[in-house]
Amino acid sequence: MSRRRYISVDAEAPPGFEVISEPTRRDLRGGMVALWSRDPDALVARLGPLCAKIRGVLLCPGEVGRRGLLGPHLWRYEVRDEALPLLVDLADAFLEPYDEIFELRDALALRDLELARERGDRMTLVDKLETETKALRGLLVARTAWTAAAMTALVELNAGELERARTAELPAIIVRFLTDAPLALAGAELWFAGGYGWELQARAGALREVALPRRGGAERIAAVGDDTLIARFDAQVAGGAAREALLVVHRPRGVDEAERSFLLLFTLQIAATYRGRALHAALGLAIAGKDALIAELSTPVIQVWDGTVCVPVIGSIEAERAAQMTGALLDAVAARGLRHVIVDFTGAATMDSQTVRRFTDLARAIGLLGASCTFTGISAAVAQVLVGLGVDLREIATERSVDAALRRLVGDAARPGGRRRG
Amino acid sequence: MRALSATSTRLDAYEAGRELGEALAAIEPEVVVIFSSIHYDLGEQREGLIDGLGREDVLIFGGTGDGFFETASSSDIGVAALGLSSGGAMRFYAHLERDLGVDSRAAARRCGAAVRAAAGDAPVRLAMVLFDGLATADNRVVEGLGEALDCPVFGGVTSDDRKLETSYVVVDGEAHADAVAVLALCGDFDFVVGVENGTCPVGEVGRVDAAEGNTILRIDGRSALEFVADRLGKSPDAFTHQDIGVVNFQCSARADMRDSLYRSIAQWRRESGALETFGPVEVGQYVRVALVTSDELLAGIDGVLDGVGGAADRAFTPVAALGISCAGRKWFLGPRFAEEIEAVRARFPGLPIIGFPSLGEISPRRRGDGSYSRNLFHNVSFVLTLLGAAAGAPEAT
Repeated sequence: MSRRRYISVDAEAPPGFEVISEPTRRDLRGGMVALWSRDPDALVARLGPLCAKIRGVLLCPGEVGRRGLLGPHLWRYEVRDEALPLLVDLADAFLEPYDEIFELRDALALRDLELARERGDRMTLVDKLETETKALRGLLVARTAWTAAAMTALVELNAGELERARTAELPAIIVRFLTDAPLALAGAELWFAGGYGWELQARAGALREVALPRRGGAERIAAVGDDTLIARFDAQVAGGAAREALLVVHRPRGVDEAERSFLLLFTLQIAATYRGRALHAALGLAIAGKDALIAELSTPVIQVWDGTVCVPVIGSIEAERAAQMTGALLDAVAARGLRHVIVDFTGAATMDSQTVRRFTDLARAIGLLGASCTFTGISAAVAQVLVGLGVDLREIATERSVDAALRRLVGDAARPGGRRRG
Repeated sequence: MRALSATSTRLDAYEAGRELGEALAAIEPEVVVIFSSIHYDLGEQREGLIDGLGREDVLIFGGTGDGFFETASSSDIGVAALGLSSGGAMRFYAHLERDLGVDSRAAARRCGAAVRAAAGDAPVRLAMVLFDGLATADNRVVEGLGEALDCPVFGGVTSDDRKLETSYVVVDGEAHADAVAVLALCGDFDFVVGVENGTCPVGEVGRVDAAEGNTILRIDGRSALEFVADRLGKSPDAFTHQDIGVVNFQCSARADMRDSLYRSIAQWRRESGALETFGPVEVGQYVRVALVTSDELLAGIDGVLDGVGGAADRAFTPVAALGISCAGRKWFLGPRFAEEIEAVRARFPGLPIIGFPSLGEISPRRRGDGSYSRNLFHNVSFVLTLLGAAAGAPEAT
């Protein structure tokens, strides 16, 4: 229950009422008040606007139970003189429900304010989060779609055009790709380091003037303003060192992390393409050189005597190599007018039957060119193959070693009319 | 010096004021400082206060805020009051100046000059300022006060219940929006003022190349947004509304960041990279990006308490305290906001203290030798002023 005062403005106060002939605001406010006056109209006139702020009841003589409102919370209640001894109880009975109502109303109003405050705070937070979420969702959808399209295009580029194109065409392909849908970059330029600065390799679309960074910078990718990106990578070309390259792209609506990441990925891909092509070219040259060297080493034709050469067969002999040797040897016999050819198998590892047949054919062909052919150093394995093939060894001169063959050939040459075996 | 604090959450303005007055009447205060939520009829509240005190010869000074905090409680709705009684050792002078929005610097200067004139020959040793920051886009109150007063000034920007629509400052029977009010304290007393916020500076210091009012345009040759993004290691595009309140600037006139103040980012302009802050930043000022978490904000309170605690070596016993905490801190801390005042209570048990969440805090920085910097306008900060009797002064009766 709130504080309650019982004030009589009349000198003759009912029991329980204190006499305050000129009550002040301080007396009348700050709780419920029960006022007593035999001249209520005069009191109301005296109180004036304060009536609008007092909570309570003005008790006065009159018709029992008649009441009226003097202010938002101040009632006028008439009583008979007989009730004066019980006026405090009467006032309490009158004020009690209002007291509770005021208490409840204040509590509810406070709760209302607190709820409104909490609601406001939460709405603000919800609005903030919703706005944020919408923006992020929109961005995410847009970037996901763009990234997917860009990656698909990149895969197609790798699988198609990039694979087939000549190296010289790559710069044009690169810049064209970046300005094509779905990447929608307004401009693209590819620069290679050259001389004292940069040399433009290819350009597509409209790109505003951009100050190129100095050569040898460390940054892989950098933004110029809020709409242009410069990516740096190495473009290794065949037969040369890696050349520093710059890829410059422009995005009118600004560049974001997705474009930045894509461009970085793309430059890695392009750098790998250049490096792959350079390695491929270098590998081709190395293979050709190796083949020539092998061919040269595979058919050594060694002159061991006047008009006499020796061809040592070393390692594994396959049909292809045997054919090479055959061709080279017959050319040498014809071109150099050789009289004797010693084919030495001492260093030969294994030979298949087809290879052995090629050598027997070689011997016959040498004979047709007017020269003799002697096989030396035939191993047991090769001999078995020869026999297995049904080669008539009487057709082919054989000796145990090159030394023996030479002695025989030199001896034959020394004897007039010396007969050639075979 | 004696002090009492009290609160009321009664909704009826008169009854709330009366409740406060009756609670403070015992010490017969010469001045009562009130921090009220915006819901009250402040005239009615004053009448209640006067009636509760039972006397009219008391100076009432205060304003509205986003709730209040007090020795024993805190609330979004209600009113807190601190009564001070010096037994005549102190003199208090207050003045309210209107039309702050027309020229905040001039209004503050007039207000400061008025209290200084009222004080006459008595030097104004400390002043408290409250002003309606919602009425002025270009807040130059600290500069204006500096042209009239040469003492430490603490205070804050009055506010409302987060609607940011209107706020009031109160001096006696006057309660006005679009106004600035100053309470000057003269005579024999002691005080210490501390300010801190707990934010964590990151990265190198930069220098402001271009700024207009509350907007920083360029720092270290690049847009303000790019500067911040660089220091945070993130893309300018990655900024979101969530960064507001988290990202702040530590600002100072010197590269070593001595006597620094803080600015919170109010919003950013993506197209230009400009950043708008709650308060002006000057060209040539040095700035450093500062981040904040709830724990760091609360650690800032310990910083304030440690700072003012240094006054103990002067045998200074505080009798009352006034706290000004940024409304942004309240927003950021949410339910943990109450921990701020709990930390103060824990350090100064039973000390009468009232405070309010403001839209900007004013305080000089107290240096290690006890001297004060010039007065500064801060964001996201907590200002604590301790008042006590001058050493050796008899206790007021």
